Formats: sequence, C-alpha cells, structure tokens
Amino acid sequence: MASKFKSFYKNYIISKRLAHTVCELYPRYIPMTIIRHIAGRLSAFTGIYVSTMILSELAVHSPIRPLIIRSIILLFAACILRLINTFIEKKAEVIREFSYEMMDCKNAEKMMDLDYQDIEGDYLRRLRERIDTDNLWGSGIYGAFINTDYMIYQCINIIVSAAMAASVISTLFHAESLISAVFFISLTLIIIFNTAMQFYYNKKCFALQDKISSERDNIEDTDLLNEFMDYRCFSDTDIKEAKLYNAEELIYKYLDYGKQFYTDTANSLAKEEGKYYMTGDVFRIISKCLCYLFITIMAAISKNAVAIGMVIRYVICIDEMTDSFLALLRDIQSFLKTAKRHDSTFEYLDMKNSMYHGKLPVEKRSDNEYEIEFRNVSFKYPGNNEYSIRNLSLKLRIGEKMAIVGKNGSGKTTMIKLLCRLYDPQEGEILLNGIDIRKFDYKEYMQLFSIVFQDFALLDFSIAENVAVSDNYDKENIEECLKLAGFSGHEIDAFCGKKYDENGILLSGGEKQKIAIARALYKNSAFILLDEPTASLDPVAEYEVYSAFNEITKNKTAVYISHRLSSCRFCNDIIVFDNGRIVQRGNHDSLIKDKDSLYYKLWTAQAKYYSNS
Amino acid sequence: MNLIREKNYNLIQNIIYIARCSFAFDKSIVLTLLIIIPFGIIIPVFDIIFPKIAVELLTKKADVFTILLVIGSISILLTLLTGVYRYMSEARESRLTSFIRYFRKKIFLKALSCKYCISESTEFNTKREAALMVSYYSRSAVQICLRVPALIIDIACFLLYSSILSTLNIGIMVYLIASAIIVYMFARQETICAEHTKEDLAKARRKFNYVIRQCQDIQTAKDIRIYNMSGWLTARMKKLLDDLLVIAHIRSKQGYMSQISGAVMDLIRDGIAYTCLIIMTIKGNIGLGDFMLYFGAITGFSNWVVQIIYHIKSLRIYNIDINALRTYLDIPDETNESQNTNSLSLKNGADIQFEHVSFRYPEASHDIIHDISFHIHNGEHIALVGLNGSGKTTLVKLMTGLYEPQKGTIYINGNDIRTLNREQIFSAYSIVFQDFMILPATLGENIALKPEHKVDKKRASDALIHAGLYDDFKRRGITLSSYMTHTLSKKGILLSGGEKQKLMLARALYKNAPFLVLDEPTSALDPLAEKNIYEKYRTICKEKTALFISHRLASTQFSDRIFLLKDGNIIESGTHDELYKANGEYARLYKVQSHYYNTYKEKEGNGYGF
Repeated sequence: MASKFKSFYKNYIISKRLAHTVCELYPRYIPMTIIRHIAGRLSAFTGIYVSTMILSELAVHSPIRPLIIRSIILLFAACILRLINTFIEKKAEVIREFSYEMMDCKNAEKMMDLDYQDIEGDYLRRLRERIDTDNLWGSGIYGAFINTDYMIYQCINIIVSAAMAASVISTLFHAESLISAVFFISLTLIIIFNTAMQFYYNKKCFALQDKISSERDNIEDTDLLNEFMDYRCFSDTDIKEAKLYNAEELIYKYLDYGKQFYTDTANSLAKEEGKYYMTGDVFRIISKCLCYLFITIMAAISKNAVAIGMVIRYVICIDEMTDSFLALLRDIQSFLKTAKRHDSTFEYLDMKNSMYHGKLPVEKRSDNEYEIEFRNVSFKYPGNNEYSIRNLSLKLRIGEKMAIVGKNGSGKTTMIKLLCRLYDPQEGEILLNGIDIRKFDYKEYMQLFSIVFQDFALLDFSIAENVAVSDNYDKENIEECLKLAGFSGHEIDAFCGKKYDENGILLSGGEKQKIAIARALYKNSAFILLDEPTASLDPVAEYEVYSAFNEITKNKTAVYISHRLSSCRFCNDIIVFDNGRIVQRGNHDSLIKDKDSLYYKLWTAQAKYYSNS
Repeated sequence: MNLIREKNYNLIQNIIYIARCSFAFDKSIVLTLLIIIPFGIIIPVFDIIFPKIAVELLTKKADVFTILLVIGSISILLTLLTGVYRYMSEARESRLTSFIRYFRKKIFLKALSCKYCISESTEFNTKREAALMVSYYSRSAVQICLRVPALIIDIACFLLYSSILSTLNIGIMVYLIASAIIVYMFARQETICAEHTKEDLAKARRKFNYVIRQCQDIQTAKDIRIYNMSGWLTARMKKLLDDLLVIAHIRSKQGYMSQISGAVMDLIRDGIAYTCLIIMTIKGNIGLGDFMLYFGAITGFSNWVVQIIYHIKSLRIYNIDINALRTYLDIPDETNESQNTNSLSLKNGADIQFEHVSFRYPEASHDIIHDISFHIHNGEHIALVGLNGSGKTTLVKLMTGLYEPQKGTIYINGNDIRTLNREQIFSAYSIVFQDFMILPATLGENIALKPEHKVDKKRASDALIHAGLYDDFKRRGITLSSYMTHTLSKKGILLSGGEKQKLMLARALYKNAPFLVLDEPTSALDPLAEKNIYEKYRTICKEKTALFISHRLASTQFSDRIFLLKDGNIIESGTHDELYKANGEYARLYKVQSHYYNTYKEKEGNGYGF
C-alpha cells in the first residue's frame, strides 16, 4: 500500500513538473487555451440552445417573427465566438507544432553544459536511448501540450453543460426522484467502470511498450532491420564491400533478426490499445443511449410537462457532461502516461556535472609565461580496467616545441584530453603555474589552449564562422590565419558542406584540416596542441604544413602528436610514450643514438623505406 | 543529374499499387479494410435518427414501455455496431504497423541490388531519404490504406444525407453544396499559400535541426568545449527557432480567410435552414421529429462535404509521397546484363588490362580518369601512387566493375568485362578499402561475409594469423563465433581503428582471390604495425597479382612497377630506381616525403633542393 502511495506521489510530482515545463516553454499557452475553449464551448452550446429553443416554441405554437429574430441574433453571437476560438487555435497550433523544437533547444543547451567525460559515458548513451523510445511511446512534449489542451476542454465542457442542464436536473430530480437516482447512479457506475477498464488496458499497454523499448537491453530481440536502416550498423560506404564480397546472404540472415519478436509485440500492443479505445467508445455510446432513454421516459411520465426542445437540450447536455467526464479521466491518464515517459528527460535535465569546476580566474599574461606540469598523473577511461596514463610526470617548457610519439593506444591523445580537462585524472594533479587546474574557471582556463584533434569537427557554417567560432569576426585576421594554415581557393563566406546551407561547397579532408588549423591559430592562445594534423593530407600538402609549422607556432608553446616521425624533427623536445608512460625524452639526435630504444625502432621502421642507400 | 527517373503515377494507380503491396504483405488486411466500410456508414446515421425518434415518441405521447422498447433496442444495436467497428479498426491498425516494415526492408535492399554507381550518388541518397521519410515517418502507405475506406464511407454518407435532404427542399441542398465549394476555394487558396511557405519552412527547419544535432553530437562535443562554442551555438539555435515560428505564424494567418468564410457560410446556412424549417413546421408540412431529423441532416451534410474534401486533399499529398517511394523502388536492379556470358577462368591468376578508358562522375565537368591505358600482368605487384583526388580509388572501382567507363575497354584475362557477369568480375578481386565495414555478426561471418554454416574455420583462422590479429584475439578470448559490435551482444567485440584495418585485410585474405587490391591499408596504423604489414606484404601477395595504393611512397619499394597517377592518367611508370633517376614528378614527391628522414643521414642538409 505504502509503495502504491509512493508511486502515486511520484506520478503526481512528475505530472506537476511536466505541466511546469509546458508553462516554461510557452507561458501564454494555458491562458490562451482556456479562453479559446470557453469561446468554443459557448458557441457550440448557443447553437444547441437555439435549435432546442425553436423546437419548444414550435411545439407550443409561439409567434414566428420574434422567434426567428431571436434565433438569428444568437446564431450571430455563436459565430463571433467561434471565430475567436479558431483565431486562438491557429496560434496554439503553431506552438504545438514547434513544441519539440522548443524542447530540443533545452536539451541541446543541457548537452553543451555537461562535462565531456559524462557525455561520452555509457550512462548518458543509455539514457538518451531511453529518452528516444520514451518520446516515441509518450508522444514527447507534444503529448503534454495536446493533453493539456484536451483536459482544459473537458473541464470547460463539463462546467458549461452542467450549467445549462442544472435547472432541469433539479426539477426532474424533484419530480421523479427514484428514476433520476437510478439514472445518475448508472451514469456514475459507467464512468467508474469505464475508467477502471481503461486504466487496466493502459497499464497493459505501458508494460508492453516497456517490453519493446527494453529491446535494446534484451539483445536477443533486437530488430536488426532498424539498426541497418538507421545506419547504425551499415553505412552507404559499406555497399561496395557487400557487393564485392557477395555478402547478400549474410545480410539477409541478419535483416530479419528479431522480426518475430518485434511484430508480435507490436501486434499485441496494438490489440491492447484497440481494446482501450474500444471500451472508451462503447461506454460513451452506452451513456449516450442511457441519456436518451431516461430523459425521454422521465419527460413522458413527468407530471409537470417538460417542453420537447428542453428534453433534447438536456439529453445533449447530460450526454456532453458524461462524455467529458469519461474523456477527462482518459486525458488525465494520457497526461500521466506522457509524464511518466518524461521521467527520462527530467533525469537528463537534472544530470549534475561530475567534475569540479573552480572559480579562480586565470592570470592574463602578455608574455605567455605559463607553465604546465603533470605531477604523478594516472588515468583510466571510465569503464576501463587498464590505465591509459600511468604515473606521468612532465613539465611543458614555455615557448618550446614538443613532439609526442608512440604506438597506437600509448596514451598520447589521452594526455591532451587530460590537459584540457575533457577528463580529470584519478590520481595525481596537473598544475598551471603551480596551481591545480581544477581550481581555475573552466572557460578562462580553456582560453589558453588551441587544439586540433585528429577527429576535429567543423560545422557546416561559413568558413569564416568556423575559423572565428562566432558571428562577429575580423575578416583580415581570418584571411591571415587561413593563409598561414595553407588554405586557399575558396571565399571565406562560403559554407563548408551542404547540411546547413544547400549552396555550400564540399571540402576535401585536407582542406577541412587546414580550416581546423586556422581556427586554432585564430584563437591565438598561449598553447597550441596538434594531434595528427596531417593525417589526411597527401605528401605535398603535408610538406607545406610542416614548412609553415615554425611560423604557425612562433612564440607559443606547441605540442605535436604524430605517427609520422618526420614531423618530430622540428622539435627540440621529443617525448616517447609507451603504455601510458614516458619512456624517452630528448632531441632527435640524442634519442636515435640508443639502438634498443622504442624511438629508434619507430624511426627506422619508417625511415628505412626512404633511405636511398 | 538524371540517373533516376521521377515517377508520376496518378492517384488511382498508386492506390492499386498499395493495395497490391498490402495484399502481398498480408491478405487479410484488404479484407478487414472492406468489412468495416458498412459499419462506418451506418453508425453516423444514428446521430440524426436518435433525436427524431425521441421527439416523435414524446409528441405522440407514447407510454413508458414503448419508449423503453424502441430506444432500448436502438441502443443495443448501436452499442454492438460501435463495438465491432472499433475493434475491427484497431485490429487493422495493428497489422498496418508492421506494413511499414515491409517497405523499409524493400528500401534497404534496393541499395544492394541496384548498380553501384547509382547507389553511390547523392541523388540516390536524396531519393532514399525521401522514400524512407514517406514510408516511415509520414507513413503514407499506411495512410492510404486507412483513408481510402474512410473516403468511401464519406461518399456513401454524403449520398445518404443528400437523399434525405432532397425530400425536403432542393434549394437548401444547392446552397449547401455551393457553400461547401466556396469554403473549399478559400481552403485551397490557403494550401497554395502554404505551399509557398513550405519551402522556407523546410529550409529553416533543416538549418535548425542541423544546429540542434551538432550541439548534441559527441563528435563535435570536444570542439564545442575547447573553443567554448556553447554561447554562440545557443544564440544561433534560438534565432533559428524564432525564424521558424515567424514563418509558421505567417502561414497560419493565411488560414483566417477560410475560417471566417466558413463561419459566415454556416451562419447563413443555419439562418436559412431554421427559417425554412420553422415555416414548414408551422404550415404543418413536417412534424417536430422531422424538424430534428432535417436539422441534423443539414448540419451533418456540410460535415461530410468537408470530410470528402479533406480526404481527397490528403490522398493527393500521399500520392506525391508514394510517387517518391516508387521513384526509388523502381530504380532498376542490376541484372547480370551480359547476354553473351563468357566464362572467366581464374585458375591461373588474373591479368588486367585497361584500353583508353575514360570515366567521369555523373555530375562532374571533367573526366576523373582520362584515356588511361595500362596492363597489369599476372603475378605482377604494382604500386599506385598519386596525390589526393588524383583518381586512385576511382581506378579500383572501374577495375572491379563497380563503375562503368564512358569510353574504353577493361579486360580481365583477356575478357572484356562487359561480357562477364558481376559475380564473375567480383570473384577476381580481394579488396581492402579505406573504410571499414563491420556487420553485427560473428567474427567468422565478418571475415567470410557468409552465414556461419558456410564459414571455413581453418581458412578464417589462417587469415587472422596473416593479418596479425590471431594472437591478440586469442589472448582476449575472442573466437570465430564471438559477436562483433555491441548490437547483438553486450560483450561483443569492439575494435580499434588499427585492428579494424587488419580485420579488413583478413577478409581479403580469406577470399583469396587472384587479384589483391590494398587501398591505403596502413593509414590507421602506427609505424611498427605499418612495418609489420609491409614485411608481410610479400608473403601475402605471393602468387597473386597485387595493387597497392598509398600516398606514403615507402610502399613502392617492394613493388615490381610503380604507376604515378596525376589528373586522371598515368604520367610515370617503372621501378622505383628508374623513376627516381628520371627525376620527374615521382622523384619530386619522394623527396618531399623522405626529406626529413634523409637529412638525418646526410647532415649537410636539404640535399634535394628544399
């Protein structure tokens, strides 16, 4: 019982929060909806009032002219009310149409606010998958907007129809108390019974939906067709391999994987949903029929005769009222369902940043006298058992060019990620001018670094915007940076790629890499860190970048990671990483002397193909 | 431009097409769709009959028993009908949910079955996206299945109400139809205007979606943090959302006219109808019950007209969607088109010859491969070098028949490849491409690209050994039946870039075709791993013809001949020493790369003129 109450309370809290979210996304939505439905319902009931009024008057042979005039005035009023209703509805429709987008903005902001180590984590990936499926089943924030609208409609409909039927209900009750009692009790029973049944089916649907959405955890039941279709396990570059290796048979085998489960659950879900809607509809019809039956009987046997028009009016009003009651309970349930399906979204929005972010300002120095020190740093990626960095101690000397070399997975890139606090080390500390970097304000701290990662990302905005990372930029400065990076041939206001603007240009990997380098230069930070900056360049372009390297990093501290050891030759300080540790440090000439060293092996592995002896 | 022909079937043709598809998918669907039609027609009639009967019972001062009997029996009938109708409708919907799957599968398989040069084009991708959109998101195929019976019901009800009203007064009916047409005209105006804003809206939406996606993209996340982009992107996102709302509000404003005209028309209609009915009742032409019946019919009548218009309008939209779907699905499959099939014998190896071959991408302005001729003899090892964009990968695609040259002829063992069927051509090659295809299947299946029972375990293990993965996998406890990726097993194998590249090599080795093509096979490897592959290269290619593509020129030294590709043609060919001595383009490239390695040996400095 206690647990039931607890879950009820939890639902209440989530629903409240969902309602708040609706208000927050568009504060005027609820007042707008209330006004619109009052106008709409008044308009509709005026129509009913007119037709039933005419019926009653005709039955008692009243004079025609005043009747017609009265009718037309009322109809005119109803028409005005109807226009008010549609006018507001058009506006509300637009809001609903873009409710997803409004929510997307909120989610995107949150994403950018999270720490990098959290967004790469398994927890967030699973949470986001859950949000996706939850949105699918709960119709997302749109569901919240539309259900709010429905609930307001039902409430107003109940009030207006009750007000219209009130007078006769009391007279009838007075005259035929027994029949009236039976009538109202049976209506109430219908409402209760219907709600109970719908509640039951709803719960069943919910459980089935959960069964389908947990499909991804329950891996045997994964529907691979979806995975293939959504490019999660097959991309369009894979087509050529599939053809050349004649892989059709294998793909066919997996394409129908999980199909049976998927269709079966989908079918049973639809059946439950069908029963849910069916009960709703059948009960509505039953209550409607009951209204006709009872009110007609009561009117027939009533001693103080009720006008015929009134009978129809009351039937309609009471029918509307019960109908709205039934619908209101249903709408509350769907709102609850939507709210429950928003639990995951709220969980996401409530995620806390797991990293400590200090407030200490970073001292601005024009002479770039910043010193970085790694002190006994060890680090392993979340969910990994092996350390990627082991007890690393290292000082970056001011103004020096440093190269980091090593095998795949030896911890080169990881070191950079620690330096710019994409991750925090588990042991040891990293110091900037003697102070733990965690104590600095993150944004100010990041001002010190320009980084080009191997897997850098450009946006499909204009080249200038990409370089400046802003809408306002200094054109000359941008052109200079692009020139330094060796980029030429395109206007700086051309768009990179076609995804944002269809008139964009498609850039080659090399050109993109050059823009990324220009972006790092434009930022003009004290440190410049380049991770495999020439990986997708051909020899000639690679040579150009190398040649400009000294110019690029003029009075900066530079760290340079590369597989191609030829790049190390610029650097007076070369660090060799192996297995998360520094195994060698020095300049090229001193490192190469030790013929057993890793550096020697790496160097000769490449150099021997270029020696002309 | 025009790789894919747009299809323009009319609505009827498409309805028949969908009917045929649904019949092929599940025969009972069509049946249920037909069964519910009569229910759909009868149920709404009760809405106008009920008040009439109630009023008539009261005016005739019927006794309680009669009322109970008449209304009770109608009630039971109506409840039953509604129950059956709703249940059938929902059962139908449940089946139609899986109907979407039918199209999704067809759409996926098309990419594999049509010609590669088509499936690779951007045009194909746009069409594919469009087809997916209509089948999955707007579910147009399902909608047609639902709307056609709905339309039939509407038309039947329209006729029914017309016949009721025609007994009353033809004038009213004429007015009702006329007013429906006027409202429709305004609504049409609205749709035409909406068409104009549609494009702006789609454009704005695309921009907005792009920014939203980038903000949440894990790939971009690093750059966002390092360059502190969040403020900038948030502002951009909000601005784009505002743009969207402005366009949408403009669009919705265009709807006011049809709303106002509809309201005014209804006002006039009700005015006239009441006046008529009142006068007729007073004159005694009709009873009070009929008053209710006719009044219900008049208000209901325009409802049917609106419904019919609405359904036709949406069917038209779905028709456009289905045409998009069929444009995609009607792309011809690749057939084994060669009628005079030669049989290709690969027993003695492979020998490839290009004769004056030119190739141009469909949307390009110049040839990417221009009048190229060469001969790769059986057992020869060739290195193909060239700058980015010089056409190296294109050459491979031509060789394997993935592309068809516009000019010239390609021969395998002396057979023109146009006379061979696809499978024969493909069987000549083992290729390692630059991108990695890993399917959510077992390791063995990924190596053989055949279902488990057809995998030769011994051969697969050998391939792993040669690719340098075997020991490492053994240490990690990975067997041939372990699943790759996390899709089918949480414990599935995830590989690093370097390991993936090696797996691709294992796949090529498993296939053991006479011609081995390696396209930049070491780009993701560190120097030692690269050296390993280079050293194994000779053993791997023994008794095979091989083509090694790389822009790291070191690879050229263990090849028999080097082709230097520039601007779509081979400008230099020969051994490393020959080309180096010739001091041409190749020598220049080589010097650029070896520069830093050699200055170490020749301390005097930049000995090669740099």
